[in-house]
Amino acid sequence: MSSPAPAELVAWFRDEVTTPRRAAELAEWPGKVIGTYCNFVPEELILALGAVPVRLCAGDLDAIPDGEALLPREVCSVVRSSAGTLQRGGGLAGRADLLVIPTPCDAKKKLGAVVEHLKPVHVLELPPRKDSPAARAFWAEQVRGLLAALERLTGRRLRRRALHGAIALVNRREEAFRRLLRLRQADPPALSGEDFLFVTQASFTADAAAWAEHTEALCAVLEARPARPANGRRVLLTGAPLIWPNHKVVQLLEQAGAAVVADELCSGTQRLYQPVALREVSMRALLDAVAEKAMLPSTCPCFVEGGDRLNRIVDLAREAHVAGVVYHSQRLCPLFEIEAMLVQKELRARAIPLLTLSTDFSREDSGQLRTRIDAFLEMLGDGRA
Amino acid sequence: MSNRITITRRIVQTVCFVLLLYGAFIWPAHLETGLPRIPGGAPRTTLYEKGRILWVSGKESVVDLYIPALACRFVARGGLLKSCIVHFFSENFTWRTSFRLMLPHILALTIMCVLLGRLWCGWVCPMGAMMDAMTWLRRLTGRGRLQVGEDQQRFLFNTRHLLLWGSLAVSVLIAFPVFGQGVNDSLFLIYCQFCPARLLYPPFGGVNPCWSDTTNTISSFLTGVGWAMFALFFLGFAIPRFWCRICAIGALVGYFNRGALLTIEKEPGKCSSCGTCRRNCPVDVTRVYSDRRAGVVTDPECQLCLTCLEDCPEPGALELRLLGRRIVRS
Ligand code: SF4
Ligand code: SF4
Ligand code: SF4
Ligand code: SF4
Ligand code: SF4
Repeated sequence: MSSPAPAELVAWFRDEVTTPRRAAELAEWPGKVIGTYCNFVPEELILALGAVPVRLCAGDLDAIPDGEALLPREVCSVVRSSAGTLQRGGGLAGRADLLVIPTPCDAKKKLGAVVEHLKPVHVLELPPRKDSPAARAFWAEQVRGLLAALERLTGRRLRRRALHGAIALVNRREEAFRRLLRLRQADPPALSGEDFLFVTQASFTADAAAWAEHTEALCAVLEARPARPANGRRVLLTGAPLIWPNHKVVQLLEQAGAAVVADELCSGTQRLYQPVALREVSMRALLDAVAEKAMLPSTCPCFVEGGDRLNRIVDLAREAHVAGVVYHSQRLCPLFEIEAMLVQKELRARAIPLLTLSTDFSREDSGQLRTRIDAFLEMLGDGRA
Repeated sequence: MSNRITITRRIVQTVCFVLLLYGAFIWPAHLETGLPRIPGGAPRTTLYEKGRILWVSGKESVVDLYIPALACRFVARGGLLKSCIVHFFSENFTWRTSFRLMLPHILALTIMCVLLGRLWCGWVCPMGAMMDAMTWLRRLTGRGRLQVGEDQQRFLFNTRHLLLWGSLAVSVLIAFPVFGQGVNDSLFLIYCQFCPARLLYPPFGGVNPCWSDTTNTISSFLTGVGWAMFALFFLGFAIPRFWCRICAIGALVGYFNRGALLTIEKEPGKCSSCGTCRRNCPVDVTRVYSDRRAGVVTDPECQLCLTCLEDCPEPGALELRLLGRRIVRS
């Protein structure tokens, strides 16, 4: 019996992201659906209460005009598009029973206020610094506040065993993810950068166990496949998240012949990266562990501490043997634009070539971006680090 | 997630527990180590008489070897090994044992400590193993632990260093002798008098320890302190390795931890700051997490249990090294 081709297996993830399959599944389903934004919302809590988390961060250019009915044009594409998706209704955004919106930036802080006439909203507040004693206490409180809101919505009480089970389920997903990550970083990579983003972003909405199963199957096939010749210059992609259908930057890079073998995007590698290792198993300990996992290893530029992000970029660059780094700067997002300067300084000190692309969802600048990408790849030479 | 290290540690702890507490039953005959035997010195104490606080059924240990962790002279029949490091100094200071006799033992102890640091605590000490068992039982019930605040931690830290140096000072004062004979007797081996091992270990060999000694005011008082410490030992159910946070033996061995040849080393570039090492450390060491420089992150409090290393999700972020050679890594 021949095993399925990788492309067939990737199709399951691609369909999850690009088709209304999941929305149709959940339309029939009687339980609660929780819309989340960013990676800060501990999905373990939602799963343990028998609800379904779906990450609704949007990358849809077409939804932006609807978003502009609610928000000024000076707000970044991600948030305008997210608001527009809610405004339009339908799909998974329309299905959500509650929106959980963290507050990493000004736009997301106010997103709740502009959409609360459409959906119930729970604002999950982030501390400005992720690791001071005060921040830890504050965040632990926030996570408990979220739990109370979820318990009210679902009418269930969180059981210790259920939370333990949800942590194990999410750990299984994270483990499969790391396995895939190794394959994708291999030389030659077993998976294209865009396919990797599809697999990752399928986890935004897919059933966690189903996602883990499909990913494990994909890994098994990729591991068994004979190595193919290397192609393309190996690059690391970092910066603002790319969310379907806005895969512009990764598509342009791969069309230009680069292999995006590593990324540090919160819609990519950082999404499922962190497992939870437990020792203490009381309810309090489980909640604390889940809370820490959701915030401490985050490399989001919204925190005062920026060292972890630089650290991560440099480590990934070394680990994946990339020839250069591409920084995707989100227009109108001061956090990513400011961090672009810091990343530049750090990488220059280490003599790692960097290309910064400042863009948004529009397709008008594609030609211009492509020219800069071509020049950058040429500068990298044959790309062997 | 693999728990190979934890399983290995449990096995080693169990073997050490059996050897240290039942060794004298397994090898009843005395064995020579080649290290000088230290004769019982002056002042002759009456406290070894039945009914007195330091009474013990023990005769002679199988091997005249002192080790850093809790090998204890109160183990039935004298035990496999002579005693712990604090007992060694307390007794020999008081007896004015000649330096010539002490030196080889001190050297042996120093080598053990410099080589392995507090690995003794994490892997060998039977009291540590008992406390780990308490923690394990508590976790089976799903109950949480009590948190120890930073102030409390500082208080406990100061307390155990005070206990260590106070006890050693008393041992020296007896030798001079500063006090009269009766007081001397009652203060002899003062740290043993309230070390929980004195009450805990004998029952494992079927011996009833001396629960109370009311010969004079001092012995009555120390009996009370002994009870209090014994009770504190069982706080181990609520706080992992609670007694270790008071234990003077651990405090003394801890001085070697930073310079020991066995080290936990960190590669900060690999660390994702996930906090797992801090959250899961049984003795609440924060250094492994917070130290962002490359190199040794062993803390004086660290017992080298390697929980942090085992649970760290980042391959290569933490490593255990002996003399610079990698033994295991995260
Ligand atoms: S970069 Fe930060 S704020 Fe933006 S979507 Fe990701 S986690 Fe959220
Ligand atoms: S600190 Fe703990 S493990 Fe170490 S000797 Fe004392 S009781 Fe044993
Ligand atoms: S009672 Fe405590 S201090 Fe005394 S020998 Fe035993 S373990 Fe050492
Ligand atoms: S720092 Fe690590 S090795 Fe040391 S006691 Fe804590 S968990 Fe164990
Ligand atoms: S567990 Fe490992 S990765 Fe996490 S903070 Fe500690 S050393 Fe860093």
